[in-house]
Amino acid sequence: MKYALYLGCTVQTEQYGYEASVRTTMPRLGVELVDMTGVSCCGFPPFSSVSELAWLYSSARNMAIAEGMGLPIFALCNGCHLSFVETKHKLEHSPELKAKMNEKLAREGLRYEGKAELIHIFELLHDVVGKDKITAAVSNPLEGLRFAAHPGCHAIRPSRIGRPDDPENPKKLDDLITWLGAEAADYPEKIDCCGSSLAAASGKTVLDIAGEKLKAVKRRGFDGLVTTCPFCFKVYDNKQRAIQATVGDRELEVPVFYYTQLLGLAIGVDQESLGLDLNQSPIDPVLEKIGGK
Amino acid sequence: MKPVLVIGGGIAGIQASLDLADRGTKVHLVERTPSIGGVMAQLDKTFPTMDCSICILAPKMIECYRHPNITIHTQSEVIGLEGNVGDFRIKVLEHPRSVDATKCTGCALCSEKCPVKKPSAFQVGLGQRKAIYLAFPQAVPLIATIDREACLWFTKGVCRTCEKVCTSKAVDYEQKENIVDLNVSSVIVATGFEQYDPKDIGEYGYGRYKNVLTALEFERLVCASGPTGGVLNRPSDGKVSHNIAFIQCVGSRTQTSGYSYCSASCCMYATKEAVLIKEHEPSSHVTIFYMDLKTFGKGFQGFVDRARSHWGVEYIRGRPGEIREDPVTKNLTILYENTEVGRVERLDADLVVLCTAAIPHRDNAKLATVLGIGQDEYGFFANPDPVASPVETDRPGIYSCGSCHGPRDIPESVAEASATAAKAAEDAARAEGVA
Amino acid sequence: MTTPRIGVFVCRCGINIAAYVDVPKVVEYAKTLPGVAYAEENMYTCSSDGLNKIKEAIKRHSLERVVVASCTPRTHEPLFQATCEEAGVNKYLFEMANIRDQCSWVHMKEPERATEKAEDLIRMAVAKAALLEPGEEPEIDVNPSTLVIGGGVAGMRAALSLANQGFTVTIVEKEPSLGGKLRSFDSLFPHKQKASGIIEPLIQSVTTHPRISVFTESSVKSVHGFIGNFDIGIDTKKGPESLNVGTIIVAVGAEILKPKGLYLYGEDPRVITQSELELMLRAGGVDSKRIVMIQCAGSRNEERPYCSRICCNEAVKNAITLIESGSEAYIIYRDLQTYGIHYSKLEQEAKRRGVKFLKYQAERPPTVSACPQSLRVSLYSPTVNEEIDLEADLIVLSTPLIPISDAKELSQMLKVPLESNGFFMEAHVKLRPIDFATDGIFVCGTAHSPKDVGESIAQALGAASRASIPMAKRRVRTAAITSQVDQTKCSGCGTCIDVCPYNAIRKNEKGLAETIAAVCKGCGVCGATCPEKAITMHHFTDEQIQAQGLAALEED
Repeated sequence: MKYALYLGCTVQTEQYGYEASVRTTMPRLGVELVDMTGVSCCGFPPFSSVSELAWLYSSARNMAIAEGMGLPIFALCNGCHLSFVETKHKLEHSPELKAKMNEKLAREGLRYEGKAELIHIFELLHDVVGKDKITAAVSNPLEGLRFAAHPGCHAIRPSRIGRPDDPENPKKLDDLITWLGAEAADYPEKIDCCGSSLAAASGKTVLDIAGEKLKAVKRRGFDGLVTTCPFCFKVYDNKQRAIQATVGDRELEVPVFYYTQLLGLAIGVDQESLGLDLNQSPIDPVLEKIGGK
Repeated sequence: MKPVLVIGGGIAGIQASLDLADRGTKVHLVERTPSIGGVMAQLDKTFPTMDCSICILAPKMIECYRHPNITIHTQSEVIGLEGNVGDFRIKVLEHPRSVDATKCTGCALCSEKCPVKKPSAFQVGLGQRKAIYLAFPQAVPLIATIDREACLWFTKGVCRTCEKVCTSKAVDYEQKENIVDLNVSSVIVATGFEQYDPKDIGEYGYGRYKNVLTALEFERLVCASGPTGGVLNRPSDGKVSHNIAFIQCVGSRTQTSGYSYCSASCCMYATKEAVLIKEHEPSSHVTIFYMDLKTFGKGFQGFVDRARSHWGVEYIRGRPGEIREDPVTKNLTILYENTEVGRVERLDADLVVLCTAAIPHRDNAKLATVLGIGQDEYGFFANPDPVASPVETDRPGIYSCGSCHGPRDIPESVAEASATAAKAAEDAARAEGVA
Repeated sequence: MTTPRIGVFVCRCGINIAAYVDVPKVVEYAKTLPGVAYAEENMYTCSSDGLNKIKEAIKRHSLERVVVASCTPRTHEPLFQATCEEAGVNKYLFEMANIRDQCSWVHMKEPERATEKAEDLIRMAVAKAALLEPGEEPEIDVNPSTLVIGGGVAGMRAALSLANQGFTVTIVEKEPSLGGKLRSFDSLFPHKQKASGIIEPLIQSVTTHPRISVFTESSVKSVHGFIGNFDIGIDTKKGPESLNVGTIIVAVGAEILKPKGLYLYGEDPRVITQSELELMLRAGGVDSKRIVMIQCAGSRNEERPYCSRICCNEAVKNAITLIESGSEAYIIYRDLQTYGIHYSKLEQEAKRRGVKFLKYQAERPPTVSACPQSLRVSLYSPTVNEEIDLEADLIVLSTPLIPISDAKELSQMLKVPLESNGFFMEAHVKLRPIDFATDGIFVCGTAHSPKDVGESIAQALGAASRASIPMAKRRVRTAAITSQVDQTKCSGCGTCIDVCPYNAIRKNEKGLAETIAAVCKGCGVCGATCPEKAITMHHFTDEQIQAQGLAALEED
């Protein structure tokens, strides 16, 4: 299983914990990650409201590079994955647009055929690597811990173009959590948005919205929140103190993890290699329970 | 004079059959299920009169059964049609009940003793029946039938308890299917409809949340002959529900999951069910979420006005975006925009009823092929000129009435059924040379 | 006079009765009642097995009256009556005691008291049975001809169907020509068929059909008689005519409300109704560039608390026509009644084409003001959550259909009721939408309630079917449960005639009341009303009811 690893802007420039945990865990599950050269921003879904062509181009060129490598493209970020899937869908249904893209890509020496396979981390871990391999790799089961899965909007919507999980009842991240020996449970706020897309419009709104989620997670007795999207993580983890201030509750503390960080802990990777010292939410109590190096 | 074939034994088929039989025409009434009655037999009450549905329907069912001019073929389907108006040659396949109809008294002892349970179609899956069963207490004919796919004798070669306990020696495992050849002058299609399955509308949680029901399931819940004896015990914990919300247009008037048309009677049956809840317990809190309140029929507006002013049913204009379930209590929360005040709000409820679209029956395509008639883009039987010829299909001599050609309520279905009888009578008169 | 020999059959009804009522005990009790010559229990009296047992018992025990204690007569009385007849016992010598719906089903928690009550009910039934008399069911001839009142689309369609079935039909139409309201309409929704395309072929067929006679510029002046034999007096342009028919179909249509003073209608010529717009469209179109249509203009309010069904679809259709010719169109509505398949499509088409829809609330209706250059419609719309002012050069009011001006007169002539909004009232809203309670008279089209052309035609065909039933058989059999006026006691006050809902009692040549047995339904209202106690209700005589009452009050 060999994949072209597409990190995307946010992971490369700040969410090092995600990149670190991905790089140390995947190979242990038999997934080989190959770095890409010459890649750029995916276009980021909201960019399409500024310029659709620019957005399509950004996505298409990255997919063209992966095609050139002859490998499926594994995007870490929900937003990047959505950009690619939407672009692929659009170009598939409009030969004119596709021709226009290729006209411009040619100037870079690139060509987009639309053959590149796109895979999301849910699909890779849940459907490709699978339960047996993951449970077999677990040496330090995360027993006694109950996590709230936060799949993130861009992993489940819009449904009509096909997303890695069900838009109303996504279960894959829950399964992945339970395969590590921990407990996952359904909760009504699971598919609520983190709010990060509103950052440019109203920062306070983002914090309010994210605050509602954290309150729910805490109220329902979870030990922590788990996500696979750098935007979601950024809001819930990096901005947790700002959320507390906005919401007016200093006690609103929720440990937040990238899934791959928990995966690493369960399969015996040391904490430093998982970038856990970069998590700003209060994860120590959870780490103590998990034990390990 | 040749007989007339009526396909479908719901209220429309029953009315068409009685009209023709009463004027001296022989009728063959072919019904797919073990009993005539159709959806109307499953309803608790009917709007706007609040009559007990089966109470006003059963006398008509019995009249059909006893009528010397009507032959009812249940568990039957039309599998072949040839010919033209005035001379259709029909093949009807009668599926075996595995029970001798001349001996069975409908005592239901066999059903009592049968060890196999299956979901009951009459109770819309909320209750169970046995492998040998009677469709419902007022079934016509009141004769037991064996579901061979569930029966231990037919599937595994064991049991035969029903045969042992039957005091009339009516069980007949050897009974075979039978093909009946008919020669009729006209055909009336009255095969009814189905309800849209809202599980595709994931945001409403149907199928995931136990306390989200469809309207037909709710009818069985509130009906005295239903699985809870008419007490509003909600599915998750049996708690008697006093706080109930209805959501209109589920699968209707939509460009995404479902159909784009309005199903015409849901606003009224939701109002009816709301009034039923209030009649059961006046202190109940009932809310109906709607888009446009369809009160176009005779007596409808007055019914809604009374539901509001006398019973206190609340109507909120807004199409809920999501239903959430509390994982512990299984109570539901509805997230919606109240468009009349422009605010996003939440409502908690014990039970939520989804008023789903009335859609074409899944067997329509098969029957359309057999009869050689057309369907519209949704699958309803087509009327090429719904204005000038509202009950005519695109094949002369074959007529349609009731909800098989579009959403209809009971009075519309009854009027149309009589209309098809008139057309059939005209055909017969023409065949006899009455110019 | 000897008491007739009464047989009592107590049904177990599987477990429905037997689980709560001690059936063997009740059977033993029945045997002790005066007149009871035989009593038995059955598992299911209505099964073919049970029915055979009744017949056998009648023969073996020479039974003269039969009492079945089981379920409801509503479903099973005819069955048991037929069984008695088969064994030679007149069907009116049969009585039922409902020990299921009225006993075991409602007293499930008190089996002892339920058993006692079952015994009481049977005692009552036996007491009445002893006094029952045989009854005869007269048959009357039916004239296979119909009077259709109203020559619009519904009346014509019904007439044509009946004529095609071989019956004679007379259409009486008050206007100079046939066609009704559709004569002034341009196109019909949903497919914009020309209204003329519907009525012209009908008029052609109706006026050339050998079995249809048409009286235009005529009206019905008197109706006497009953099903099979109605005597009709018509005022025609050539003088009075009389007619005898077997059935009558009311297809008189409806009027369109012209709401003087509402939204400046009648005060400003730029405010018109949808039907007036139709006339303009027929004539070639409108000049206006911006049209605002106001729905529910004069309906769904206290005065007319009903929805007129067709106005939303009419407005949408007309709005599309106006958009096609380059105008702007607004529809301000309360609830858009675009029901069903075709009208939903029409609504979507209108929206796609740019018709603008704005909701208004019943509590905050729009206001219309006029200035020389234009009209202004002001409303609060929750659609946009704002107060809006719309400039318009034409306002079209979607007004409801209302009953015709002489509906009351006609209803009294026919002795058929009107409902609270003034439309004709059918026998049963759900299951008998075309019949009147009075036998032999039927209704179709907008006379019944607002509806579109397709629905009117369907109902008209339905009326043709309903009317054809008695006429096809040429005879109608009536029940024996009727009233009878004792001519020696009747004072001729006529009160019974006033209260009879079925027009089943009339004054004879002596000026005394006389029941028309053929039409009487045995409801008993006349018997209860008669101040001279001159009326006997067969099968529910005073003696029979008294006997039941006394039996009910008997102590053990």
